[in-house]
Amino acid sequence: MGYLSPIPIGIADGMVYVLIASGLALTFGTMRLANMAHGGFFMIGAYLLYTFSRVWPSGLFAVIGGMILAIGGTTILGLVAERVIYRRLYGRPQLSAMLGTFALMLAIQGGVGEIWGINPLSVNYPAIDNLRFVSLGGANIPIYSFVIIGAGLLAMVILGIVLYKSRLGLYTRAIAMDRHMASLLGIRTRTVFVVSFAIGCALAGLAGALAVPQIQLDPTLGADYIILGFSLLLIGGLTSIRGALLAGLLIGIVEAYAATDFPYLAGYAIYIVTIAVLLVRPRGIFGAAHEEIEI
Amino acid sequence: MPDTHSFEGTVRASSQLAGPVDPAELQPGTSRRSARARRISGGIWLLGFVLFAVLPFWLPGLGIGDAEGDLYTASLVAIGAVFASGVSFTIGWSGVANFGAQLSYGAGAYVVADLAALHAFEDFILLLVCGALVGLGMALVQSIFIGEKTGFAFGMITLALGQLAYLFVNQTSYLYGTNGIAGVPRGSIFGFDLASSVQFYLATVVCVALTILVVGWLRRTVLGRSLAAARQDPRRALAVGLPTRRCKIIGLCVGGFIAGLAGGLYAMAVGVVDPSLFGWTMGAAPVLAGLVGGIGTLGGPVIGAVIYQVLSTGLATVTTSYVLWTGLVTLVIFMLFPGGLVTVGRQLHGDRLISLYRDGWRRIHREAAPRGHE
Repeated sequence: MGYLSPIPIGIADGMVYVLIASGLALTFGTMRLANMAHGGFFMIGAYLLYTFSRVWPSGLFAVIGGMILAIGGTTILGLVAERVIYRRLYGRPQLSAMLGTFALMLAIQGGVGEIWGINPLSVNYPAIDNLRFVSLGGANIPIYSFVIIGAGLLAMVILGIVLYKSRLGLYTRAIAMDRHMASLLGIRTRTVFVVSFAIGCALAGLAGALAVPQIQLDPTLGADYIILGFSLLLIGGLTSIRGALLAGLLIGIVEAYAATDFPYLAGYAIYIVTIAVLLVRPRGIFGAAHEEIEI
Repeated sequence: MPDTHSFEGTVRASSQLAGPVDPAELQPGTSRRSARARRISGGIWLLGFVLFAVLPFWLPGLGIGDAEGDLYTASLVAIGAVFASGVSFTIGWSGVANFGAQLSYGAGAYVVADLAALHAFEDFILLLVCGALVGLGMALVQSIFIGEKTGFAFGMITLALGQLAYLFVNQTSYLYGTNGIAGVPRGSIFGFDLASSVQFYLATVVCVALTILVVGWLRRTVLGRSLAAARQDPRRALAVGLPTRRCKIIGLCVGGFIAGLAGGLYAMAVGVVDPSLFGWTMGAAPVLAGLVGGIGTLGGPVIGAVIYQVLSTGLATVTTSYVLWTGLVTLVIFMLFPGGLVTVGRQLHGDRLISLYRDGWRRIHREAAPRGHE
């Protein structure tokens, strides 16, 4: 049992990765835009939860209300950014558009530093029913890990239902498959872009809010997480939500094992896995052959 | 995307970065411009260089900064320009998405710092050659991963390699760990000591000039044209017998060589190297500079590096939130001038600045991918 103890922590970390990567895969699939500012939205979600937790430090509402605030805030910011910036990037070459979003990422980093300060901040695990940790197989697992897993699963199930059971999801998948054909058939691509971008931002905000008690907050957080997010995207396949799910959980568990068994390798794990996967299968696990971005 | 199916689509897909296929880019030894235009452009280059070399001596008199500080900033600008030129050649001219050029840059800096500070090497030129060769070596390591594709996936591999190097250098004690190497001397050239800021600055300006001349010359040679051909249309290039994979590797190595040189200069300019040189923002800076100025052009990266460096150092003295402002200014330049600042003249031709934003907006409406309902 002791050997399995990193798994719950790994899945909880992996759930955050899954949310980041699936948001990226969604925006990349529909808009064909490698959105570097996704990490910025993740960071804003995290900081919004921090602000909420200062007002409302414990109880179930601390978790749920904070998440709602983070999701709502990042969605609104995402819609504004879409209207002002992203819309003007759609027709650009991909590298140029990508670095435009990188400039936005820098601006978000600076803005967060202005609002919340550049010093590291942290949030305690919120106590639910006065309980912070549960013992499972000899390991102390924060009860919050189960909150992450539950919320992440719920979000992924909702995303799955939206993508595969609704008309909007049908349109989104059609656009991801062939944008020009979809618009010829009368799908309002602009509207779908806006909605899928908003969903991507909401996922980033939720990921940030969920991750926050486990990480230290500082303005470079977004930059750290966006490299991770793109690595996950490449492992899973650029536009694949299934790939994002698999890659996120895989990396979460691999990192959890690396942290307990090979502490000096912990930071390397994701890059080594990324390089290995790309060498064996350049399009990623679930990627289609034509999805490679050329610059 | 259906681009892989139609021939026309392939052309568009592979040359997205630098616009449509340009036959003039492919003929060795020629220039698409008239003799008069070339004379004018040569004049602008010369004027720019003289200005670049003289300005830091002039600024303290105008009450901007102090003599030492201005020279120091100007050396960093020059180093940024060298680095951006190299990266821009790799990405914009050869079409290899190297987002991890900090690997070459940091390695060059570390080697120069090690040789100069701990092994008492003094010769400026020899040190720089060592730095550049190590940068080239790092580019060769990256080139192991060049396969069929050199787009986004390769860019992410280079980024991952850079992050690996960052972690490795941070944790490895014989590379001096997180402390890095301090007290790097600036060496001497033909017996002249470069320790003073004035002499060192002039040496960096010479390095910028040499880099520009070499890159400009390289672009006109058969080799340079082959690299452009391999970027513009890999299939056609392969069909006429160009070894496209080797072309990509050469483009990567030229960029790595120049990045190593820039890293060596940086080590001598600042006197300290630490693992943050391998941080990914180090590699992003020249790419952003290239895009602000115009990637794949000769002058663009230099202009971009000047703007980028002056912004980040200049704003740091005025406001604490210089990251915010750097990001915003870069974003605005991006929005207004998609081709980079070197295309401003072309864009403004017969147009007013006021209508530019709206025009770009309209053009995107017309041409951009979302062709659905309005």
